Amino acid sequence: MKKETISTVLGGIDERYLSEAAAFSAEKEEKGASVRFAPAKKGVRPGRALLAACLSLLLIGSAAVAVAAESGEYRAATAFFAENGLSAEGLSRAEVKAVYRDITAQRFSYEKTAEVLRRTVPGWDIRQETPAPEELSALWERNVKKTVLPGAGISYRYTYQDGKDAETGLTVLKSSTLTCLSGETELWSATFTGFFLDGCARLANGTAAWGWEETRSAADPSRAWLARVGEDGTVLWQRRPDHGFSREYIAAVLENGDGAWAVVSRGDLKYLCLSSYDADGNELGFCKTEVGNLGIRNAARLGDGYIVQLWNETTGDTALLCKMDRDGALTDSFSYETDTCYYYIADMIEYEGRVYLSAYAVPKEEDEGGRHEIAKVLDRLFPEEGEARQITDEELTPLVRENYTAILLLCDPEGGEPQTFYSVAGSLGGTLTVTGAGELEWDVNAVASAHFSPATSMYSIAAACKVYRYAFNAAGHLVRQTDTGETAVHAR
Amino acid sequence: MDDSQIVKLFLERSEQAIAELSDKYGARCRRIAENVLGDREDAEECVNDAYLAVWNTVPPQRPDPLFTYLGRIVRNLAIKRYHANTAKKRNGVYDAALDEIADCIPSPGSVGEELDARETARSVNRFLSGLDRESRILFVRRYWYADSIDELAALFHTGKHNVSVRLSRLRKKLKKYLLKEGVPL
Repeated sequence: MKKETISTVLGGIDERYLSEAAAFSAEKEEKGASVRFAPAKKGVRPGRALLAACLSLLLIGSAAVAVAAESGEYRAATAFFAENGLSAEGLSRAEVKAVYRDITAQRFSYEKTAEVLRRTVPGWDIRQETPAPEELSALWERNVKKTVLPGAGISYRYTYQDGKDAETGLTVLKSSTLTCLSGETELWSATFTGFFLDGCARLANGTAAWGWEETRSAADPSRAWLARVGEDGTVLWQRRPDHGFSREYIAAVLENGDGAWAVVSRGDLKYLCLSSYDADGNELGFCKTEVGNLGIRNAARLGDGYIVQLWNETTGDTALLCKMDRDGALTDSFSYETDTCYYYIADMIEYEGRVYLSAYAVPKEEDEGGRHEIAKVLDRLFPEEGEARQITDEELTPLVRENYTAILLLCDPEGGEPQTFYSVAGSLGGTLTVTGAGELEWDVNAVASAHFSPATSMYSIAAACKVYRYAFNAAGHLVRQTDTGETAVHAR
Repeated sequence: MDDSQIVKLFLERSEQAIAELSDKYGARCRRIAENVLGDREDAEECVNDAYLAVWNTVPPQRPDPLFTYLGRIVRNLAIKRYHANTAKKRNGVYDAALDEIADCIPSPGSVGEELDARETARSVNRFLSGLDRESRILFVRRYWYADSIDELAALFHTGKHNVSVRLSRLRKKLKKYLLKEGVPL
């Protein structure tokens, strides 16, 4: 009964839209049509042979222009491939041209494009090799946490200084120090008293540092704070914005392109806020929108506005994106998901006017019971209720690799809809950076070895991952893949 | 032969009308019917019935554009046959398309069901008018023409993954839109 209703409703779709869709399909079919002609057959009477030959010539003549145009495009496509070190192996002529059009129009929506980018030129090893046992052993010993931000080799380090509170005698946070390094060389340090340093960003007019007020108890109000640090480490100004919240934290500080900063924050665990500050720290505007219990994971500029990633793992909102205009009003929101996969967005960055999102996909399971991204793996480990099977790391690792696919998504500034740009099996999307050389680097954490420990409180499955770095140039071409030698641990 | 000439043949009651109609739109009509029914023979019968329906209704109808007039008849006949078919003979692809959108379309009410469906159809049209061209075409091709995900991926020159994501997003948008319009879901 319900399906009949649906059919009736859909049957009422306006004719204009049916014609539009029909014309679109017909146009695509015509472009794909090829001209064929029949050569003259032997033994046919002279009259018919002559007719057949004339028809052939006529068809050849009328197709000549189309063939010449097609050849021209194909030549341009092959030259483009050669120039950029792309391999056309396994592609048909039409597919070569389609990839060429897809890349030069900067759409990156054709699935063959991703395959071509993966292959690049012979000699570059795109595949992630299975690590040797001694490498696996070394991976478990190493766990490096680094904060590397845009800029030629610039990184930041956070350190915290505790002390005894005179009134209570308890050990409390006294100050936070932000240190800026170039390689291993310390450039400057800035200390902030009474504040917990939570994040920083290197911007055109200095470094933005932010965090929140330290409090003695959860009942005390805790306001966000924001500071601007000059190139020599001088704290130019500090602000503790008062937006009427009892609790506010800053998630990201972005450049507005006009010297002002856009600050994305969360108020009272339910408001998504945007405020802006000029170079002297004066607040220029503030806007809040109630979004409910959704944390802010990341934000980036998108066109003239912003794109913000919101997150609540318990409700499954792990890839919820909102578009905000320049004043902070929400203009659109969408989740990136399919019928078969959940997506977790790990990082986002603006590059060459578009926003890239680093993510990973895991299979959707019917009955997760709060196990979320590792539900499918746990199903194999607990075939019977309450009974965990014994499994070695060697047996577990391929199951965990199968569970994860790293995805690099590209957001168009007009529509803001993410499209798959690149994917890597057996891996998780990591951080995104724009280098001083103007390349986009995408870190991909390839699962090298996984361990199951149901009795450990911190995790059930921990995976040691090798970090590979994929570099893309401004045209969106993959130019390099390197094994960074770094490791990351993914524990769930 | 252009549409107006074919319609003229119908008005003149020339038997050539059906041949010309079949020549120009037969393949596309069979595709619509096959997308719904999943069976070539059933689809062929539907299309033939549709030609007869056009013969019986033109005149007095003077359809313009001709293809959408014919396409609607084919689709309606195919859907009627689809619902009449036993579960074994139903088409998984069309079923999947209806299942996808089931959440967005209201359940049948006890009173004025047809009225509700017409009202909802009007809301759906308003929703479609607000979409960009590609999204609208994607929606219509999936849920009216019942194109499969594979066909849509080939048509839009993109991956099946992207098509699924875009359709999922469109359905969510539709549901939000219908709720805002006061359509009870």
